[in-house]
Amino acid sequence: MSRYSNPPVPHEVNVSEKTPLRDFLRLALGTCLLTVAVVMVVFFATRLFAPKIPFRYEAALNEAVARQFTHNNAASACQKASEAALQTLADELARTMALPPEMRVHVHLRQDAEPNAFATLGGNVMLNRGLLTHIQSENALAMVLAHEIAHIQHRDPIVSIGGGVAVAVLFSALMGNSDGGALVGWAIGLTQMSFSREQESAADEAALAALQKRYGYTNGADEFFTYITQKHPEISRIPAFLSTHPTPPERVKRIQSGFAPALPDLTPLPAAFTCLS
Amino acid sequence: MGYDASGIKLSNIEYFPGYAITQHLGLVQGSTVRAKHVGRDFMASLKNIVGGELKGYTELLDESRQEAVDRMVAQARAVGANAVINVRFSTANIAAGAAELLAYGTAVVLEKRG
Amino acid sequence: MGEIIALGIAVILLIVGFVFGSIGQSQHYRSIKIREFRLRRILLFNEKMPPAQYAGQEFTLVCGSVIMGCDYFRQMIAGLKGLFGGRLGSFEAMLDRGRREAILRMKEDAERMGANAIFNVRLETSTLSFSQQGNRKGDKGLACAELMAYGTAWRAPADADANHPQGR
Repeated sequence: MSRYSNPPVPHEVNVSEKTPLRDFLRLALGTCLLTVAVVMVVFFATRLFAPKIPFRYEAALNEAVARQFTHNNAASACQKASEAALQTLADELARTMALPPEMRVHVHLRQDAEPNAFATLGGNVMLNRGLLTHIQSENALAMVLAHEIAHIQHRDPIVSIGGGVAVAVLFSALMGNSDGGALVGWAIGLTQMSFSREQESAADEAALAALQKRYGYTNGADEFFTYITQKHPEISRIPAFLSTHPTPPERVKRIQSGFAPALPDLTPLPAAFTCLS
Repeated sequence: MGYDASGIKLSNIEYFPGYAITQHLGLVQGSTVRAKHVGRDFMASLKNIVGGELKGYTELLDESRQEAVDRMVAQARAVGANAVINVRFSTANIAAGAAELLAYGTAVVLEKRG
Repeated sequence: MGEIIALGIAVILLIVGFVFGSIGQSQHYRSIKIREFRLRRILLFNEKMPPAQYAGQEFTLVCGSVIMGCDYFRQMIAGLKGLFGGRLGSFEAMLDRGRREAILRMKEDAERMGANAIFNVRLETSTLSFSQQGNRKGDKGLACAELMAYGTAWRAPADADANHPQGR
């Protein structure tokens, strides 16, 4: 007859937890590194592929994006006439710059006293009223418009926003946050300030080339940047490598280097703007 | 904890040396669905910060399983058995915070030999 | 500000979970080892056939169960492991403690009726989705599991000889 007994068994074989604290630190570090790596890959991959997205998809966003920036516009006759004059100038510049036919630029005049302009998604160029009241010649205005049109031509808005949107979408998907729209809106809002220095310099070059073609000279193109330098001298003290835009004094120098030796007569601003001031 | 089966013998085996099964009376079962209450749930979530046994839940499931056994025993008694053999337990999650406890076995008449 | 408070609470919970979870775990293991030694006399088998020596002896169903939770710190480790894969050591420890505790409770049950051995021991593990209050969508709630052990305990015959089941 067989014997029955229960000799002790080594219970430890079933438990592999030896150093929970070290495990935790290693896992936390690994998770952080993984997150950073994934974000960087998604961000840069999207930036790389964003210009390949056909412009017609971006054009579909045109009105939605424009509404974001122009919701407090007054629909006065002066506003309409000024916008029409701006649009005419922009269309002429676009023709000069040989924009593809489907790439239509829409200029909007914003009721904002700060002298500023920016290009954003959907072929939209936003121009603040404050800019028009601070420049004297059409040449300066054309420089600003051509600069922003060049951003659109180079697909800079979609490149700069694409990475942010892709990361925002990734995070909202991972965290199960259904409010992805808010994140995308937030990313769009940031577009105006996130072009790289290379993108800015390339846009300046393209704009100067357009002015040269249109007027035969580039004189007067520096007016807006000279004004900014005088009005905000503190900007010139920011080290160049810290600011995304080339600092205004640097840009003025670069722009002035191409001027014709004899100062030609500059073209005055279109008459439609007189009602603004 | 030992189930109080009031005179009905319970076992989860089918062969009993020294006993004879004189009648097989078929499957008997008892089940109950219980939900935890908010207070217990709250205490358990506090307890779970530090881990270890969640006593409130253990008690709740023990009580529930005893009730399932009681119901199975009531069925066995109704068919005239004096034992339930090959008893099995099963637990199933019905919804968050609600579990079904099931006990089942075969009702028999068991007699001591010799 | 809200994020900083939430982060602070999470860090405090992590520290509390680690310190008290580790203390609780080593205390529990100590208690398990003492009781396992004390109850080593009651033998466990999951064979369905009790030996012939038990002929005519008393038997009864015995059972032990415990619901084990995992502390916040170890749950966090398990969550992070979900990204990388690998052994979930913290859950292994929780289930090992729980299963041995359930077996001990079953043995204590058997001890009360003076049993010497438990046959056809069955071990069961079931997860229970006890949700936390104010549960968010997709939240798995508490990480907890019920460990259960049951079997049929037999009392040794009165005229036990050297060949009847005995502990060492």
